[in-house]
Amino acid sequence: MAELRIDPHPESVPLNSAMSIVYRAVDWNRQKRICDLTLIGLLVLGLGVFGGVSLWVSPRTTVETLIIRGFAVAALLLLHVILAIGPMARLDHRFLPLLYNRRHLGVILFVLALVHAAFSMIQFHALGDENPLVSVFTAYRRDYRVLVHGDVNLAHFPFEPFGACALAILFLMAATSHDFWLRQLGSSLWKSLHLGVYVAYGSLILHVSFGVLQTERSLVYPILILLGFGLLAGLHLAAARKEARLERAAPAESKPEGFEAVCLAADLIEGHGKVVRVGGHRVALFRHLGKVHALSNVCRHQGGPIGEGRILDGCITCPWHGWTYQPEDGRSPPPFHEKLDTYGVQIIDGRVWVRSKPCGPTPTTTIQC
Amino acid sequence: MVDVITKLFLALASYGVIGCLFAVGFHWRGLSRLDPAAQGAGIGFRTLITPGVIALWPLLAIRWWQAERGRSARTDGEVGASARRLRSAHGLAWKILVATIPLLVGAALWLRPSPAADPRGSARWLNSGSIPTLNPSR
Repeated sequence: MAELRIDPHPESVPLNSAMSIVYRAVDWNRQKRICDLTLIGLLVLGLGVFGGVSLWVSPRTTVETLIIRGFAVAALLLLHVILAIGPMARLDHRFLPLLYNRRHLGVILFVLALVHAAFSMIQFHALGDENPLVSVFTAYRRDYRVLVHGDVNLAHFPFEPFGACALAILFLMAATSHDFWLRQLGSSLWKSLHLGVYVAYGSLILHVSFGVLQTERSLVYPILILLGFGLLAGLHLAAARKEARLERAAPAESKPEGFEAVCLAADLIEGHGKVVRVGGHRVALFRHLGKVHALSNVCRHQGGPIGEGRILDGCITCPWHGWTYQPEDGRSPPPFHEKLDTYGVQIIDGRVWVRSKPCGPTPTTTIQC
Repeated sequence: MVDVITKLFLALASYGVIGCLFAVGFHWRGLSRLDPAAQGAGIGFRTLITPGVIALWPLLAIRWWQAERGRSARTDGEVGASARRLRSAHGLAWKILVATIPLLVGAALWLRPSPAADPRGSARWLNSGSIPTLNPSR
């Protein structure tokens, strides 16, 4: 949700970010404020329109029902947006600013889901003899009491626990969205925990399919759900294919000293990065002030693709959250201590050769081109 | 079933109470011991991380214990190593979703009760303003 570091050049780095040596609650900047306010405005507008149309169609619908339904629809839509941001940013860099603010969207998603859950519990489970929380997990026996004594049907399947499962996952993701947790859990565990979003998505689809789709008989709803799923699956497939092409790209030639030819020097644009594959690793190439630098493509923050970033104020800037590194040695500018692996570079006859093993603590070899 | 669910919630509540007590101690001593960047952090940051502290207190307790014994709890050296594994995990997650979601949605539609048999659906009782509780009182 917030970042660890404060940008040393806050006025000049549009992606902004982050660099600080003390944690802050929420590291809002202009871009994040615009993104958050736009989303909240769209949500208020959407909920208002949803409520108005619902009352127009069914004037006796209660406010509680409107809230339950409206927040559920908003949460499901936002989850689709969140799941689409990753592949869209991989396919088109213009979506990167959304990726930059995705954690805020995740927290807002949890709040929407929580409101839906709270009102559902109050409306359907709070007025009886059973503990409302327990009732959420056992009410299906009464909900389908007519059917339980009749034919056995898969529709007896309790749908509430799937919603509860999704809510629990969204809570864990929202609660650990701050960079403090990234640091404490470690990148692998933190990312694994946040992969739970796919379990949450699957649970929500089950929650909807065995819940509202059992009563709303219009085909529009299942078609919309399957369309949303198809769109997400298509985007992720397209992004995966793009990644696979990069993985398959073999170096044209290699030299005994461990250098591999990766591209033409003319392919590199001043101040911009290019991702190449060398010795099984992804390496980011940058042309800066007439020199070529090769660094690990994996940002120390969240593993963002360094090679898709730019050089701003003399520092390579990760496109995901704006972490910065010096092109010459891969180190973050003082007072920070992060460092990217660097690779030796040679330019021969206009071709860029990169050593397949990183230099370790030694600064990268850079060649005038 | 009700007994099992009730006991599970009691266990969860106990876990949460211990987490709340742990959070008090963690904010008092543990946070600054565990992470130097948290020294001098404001009330907003502390409030924001508290739900996570309560939820994940055993893990933080281990990290705190390690920090007290002088062991590094930093794990940021693994970013590069995990990138490929994570791409594989994303791919596996989508394969599972693609294989299951259409089937499950189809099954839910195919097996749903007919409007006449469904105590809820055909009446559209949610739209009627009269909402039967799923947790009745006797």
